[in-house]
Amino acid sequence: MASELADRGETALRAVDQLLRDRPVKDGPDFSAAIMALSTLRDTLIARHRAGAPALEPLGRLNGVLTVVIAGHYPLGKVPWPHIETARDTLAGLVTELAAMG
Amino acid sequence: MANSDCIITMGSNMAENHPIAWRFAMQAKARGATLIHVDPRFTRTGAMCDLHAPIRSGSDIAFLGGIIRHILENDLWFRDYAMAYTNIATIIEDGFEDVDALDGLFSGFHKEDGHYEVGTWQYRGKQVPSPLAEHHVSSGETMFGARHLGESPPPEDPTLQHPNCVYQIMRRHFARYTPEMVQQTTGCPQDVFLKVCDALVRNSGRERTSAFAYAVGWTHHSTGVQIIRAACIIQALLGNIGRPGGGILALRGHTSIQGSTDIPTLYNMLPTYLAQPNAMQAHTDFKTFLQKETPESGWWHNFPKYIVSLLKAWYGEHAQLDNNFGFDLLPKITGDHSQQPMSLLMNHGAVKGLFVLGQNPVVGNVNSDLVERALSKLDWMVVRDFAMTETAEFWQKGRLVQRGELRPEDVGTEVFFLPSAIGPEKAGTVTNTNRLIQWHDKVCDAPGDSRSDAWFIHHLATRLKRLYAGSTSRRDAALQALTWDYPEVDDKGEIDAATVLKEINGYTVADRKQIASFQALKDDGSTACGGWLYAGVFPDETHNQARSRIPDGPDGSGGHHGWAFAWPSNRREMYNRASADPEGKPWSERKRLLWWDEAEQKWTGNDVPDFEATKPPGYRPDWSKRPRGMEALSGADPFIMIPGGRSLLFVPTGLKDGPLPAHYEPVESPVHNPFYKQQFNPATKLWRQPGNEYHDAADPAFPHVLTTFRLTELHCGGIATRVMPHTAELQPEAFVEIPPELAADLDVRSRDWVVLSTKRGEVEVRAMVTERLVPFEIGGRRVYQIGMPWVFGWGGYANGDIANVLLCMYGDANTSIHSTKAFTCALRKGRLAHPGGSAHGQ
Repeated sequence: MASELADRGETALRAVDQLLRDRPVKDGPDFSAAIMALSTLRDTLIARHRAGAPALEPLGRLNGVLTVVIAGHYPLGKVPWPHIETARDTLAGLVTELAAMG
Repeated sequence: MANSDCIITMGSNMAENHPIAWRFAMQAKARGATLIHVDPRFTRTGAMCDLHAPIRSGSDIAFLGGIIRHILENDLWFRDYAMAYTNIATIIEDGFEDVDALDGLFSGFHKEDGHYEVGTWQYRGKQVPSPLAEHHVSSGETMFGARHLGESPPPEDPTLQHPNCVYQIMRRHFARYTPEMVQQTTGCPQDVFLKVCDALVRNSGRERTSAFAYAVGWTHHSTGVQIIRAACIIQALLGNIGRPGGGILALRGHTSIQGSTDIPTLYNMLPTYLAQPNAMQAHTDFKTFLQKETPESGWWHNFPKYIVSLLKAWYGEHAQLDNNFGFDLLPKITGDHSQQPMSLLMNHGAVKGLFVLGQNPVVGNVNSDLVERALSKLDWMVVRDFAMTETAEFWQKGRLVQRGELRPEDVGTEVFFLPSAIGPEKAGTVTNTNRLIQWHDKVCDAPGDSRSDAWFIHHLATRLKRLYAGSTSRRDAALQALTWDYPEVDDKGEIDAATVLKEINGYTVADRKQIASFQALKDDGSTACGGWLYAGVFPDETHNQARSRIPDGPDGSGGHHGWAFAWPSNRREMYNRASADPEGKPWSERKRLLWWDEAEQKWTGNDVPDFEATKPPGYRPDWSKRPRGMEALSGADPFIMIPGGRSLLFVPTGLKDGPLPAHYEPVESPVHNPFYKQQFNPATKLWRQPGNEYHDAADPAFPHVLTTFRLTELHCGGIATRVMPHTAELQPEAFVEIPPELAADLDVRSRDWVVLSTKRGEVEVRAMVTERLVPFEIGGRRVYQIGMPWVFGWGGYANGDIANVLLCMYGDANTSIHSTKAFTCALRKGRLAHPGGSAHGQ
């Protein structure tokens, strides 16, 4: 599961990086790809938590990242790119931690 | 409405779908009123009216814009009313550019993400806060550092000659909405259109008033809010707001939709229209939130009293001055969390669980196949209804299962179906279309394990509170702090709904005494109130005004103030200060409602004043003292919820798609926009995703206009009446209405099978060939419109394919509401090869 976590973390980070590079219009496919990758990573963390491993704290941070990316896909007004950049940094730190877990 | 001299029903089949409200239109007719129905279909509403004006679905703004032009160019507006009570003379910023100059865009548009900045729409030298905090929060503008309306009145030119005064801007803006263009765009013959204009204008003014009534035929468009705005402009120009028989009546979809807006199930507002904090705005602390969301002028200046009282009601002793009354406990929104994005996020795996109460989204939400796919990706779903719904059964009987795209054993969604009580099996209130809160008693027990929704929410809340009682996590603090003291009153654990209504009404914290009105609310934590606009509905411990049933006698005012409670303050006519002239005299004896009593120095009349009761008509703000709140409005500014106190013909802030309505084609249309290069509303929330593809403009593969509608016999999502044999047999199966000319082209006769298809899916139904629909000549070509009821599904005795399979998801820029009234589709004679259709209709 540790390897799976690391792989999915990297996939999610790549998707968010792609999103930040492309800065698509709000209905672009990059947002969908990032949200799906982050959701998949979250599913893995949830499974880990339910299996008894300590995952609740990173799960909370990941939920925060997912929330911000969703806010960009379905914004009220402007797409909050500065918030998404911050969320990306949070995710990068989280992915590093996840790679070391297990 | 019974006092109206002319009623235009548009965007509604009022006689069939709102028969109770329609009685008042019939009363008006009996008194001599002219009734008009503007609608794509000739229905029983049109049959009861003096005039039916057919229009192509989605062309409403062209029609209403034509009326506005007719009023302005023929100088038919109610000058004394509009000059005093609207912003018609106000001067707009020099930088404002209209759609004529920008190919269909207003100034301030950002093409990269499709939103408007509102800086150039402002009153010159001012920055105007939104009339409704909800809209202000959502539109992203900032009010910091602005020169507010509390410093001085907005710049005006009473001669109306200034090129950037609202009057001149409107004349230029609507100049192209000629009768010829109305006919070319809507398909309505010019002579019929002009008859509508004439009837409306002839029945407006000092002596006469006219009303509009609409339903989702206006709202369910990508321009829904702007359609209503167009009607607002007409009514303000003609002096038909705040007066008996005037107004714009929003007919709600079923019994308590108004109530679920007031005490909302909406994500973006707190009860009774308070701003919902937004994490993407400057709402991170309470002080800044209040500073940002409290307008300096007008009644909304009282916002802090209402939000503090709400926090006290929700968090009780955990809401204190030193913790900002628990503001940090309030969830903050981050974006658009409405129904369509929620479905798309389920499909992406981001939303894992769903409660469905009082809804049947597989039938009622657009793009039904996509909704099914989304539901199949949930971990769990709870459905509460009194009959099995398509939503609860999608995993075994859905369209995706029927055509083999999904196997029940592969669906991971755990579905809980809980039987619910229906209206007579529980006590509570409904709030109807005219804000009337009416209590109903329980008359019998619900069968078996059926329980009220209040029971479900109560026990869910108490169990969650127990579950998290020992948590030390910050995210659980809100649940822990939440007050939840509703007593259970029977052996089933049902709660007394009156205790909830009492809390919504409000009380003083120290002695828990009910408050009599929202004027008693404070911002110091001494009062608690679950919804400030409902204050007065339960004014003391034993007085439930919503339960009162005392009608007026023959000599009564006609307001029936003893019958239930109309928010706010049991007031029956909003903005009724406008029923009197600026000096406080009724515009006419025939239409008098409220007037200034000079001897008593107060407002009096046949309704509760929607104004400060003792503010004289001659009061003027002393600008040297920087007046705030109501002090900044004069005694002749009736529209107290709007910061400047006047009706907004031109909207400087609060709309996300323009300060004036402009005709855009629906996102899917068989024709190009006759008015502007911009085809459809540029601020529309588009969600292009696999399974939610859109048709291009004038796509020959999808040549027809498709509209959907309800039926009298089958209620809303349909299941409640489709499981009843006596209502099911009245509308036994799904059908599509087709004009005879199109039927002849396709060699289709009534009861033949036909297939409707779009990029989202396809359905088969029986044809009903009817002259209720007429072909239109649009842009030099014939355009057919067809109509299909959306109330059918596979469940119950009356069944058939789901119309919403054909539709796609996109949202109105202001409300995110889906569109159901104007799409394009293909139609052919025959049947589908496979049950459940194909994934895509092509």
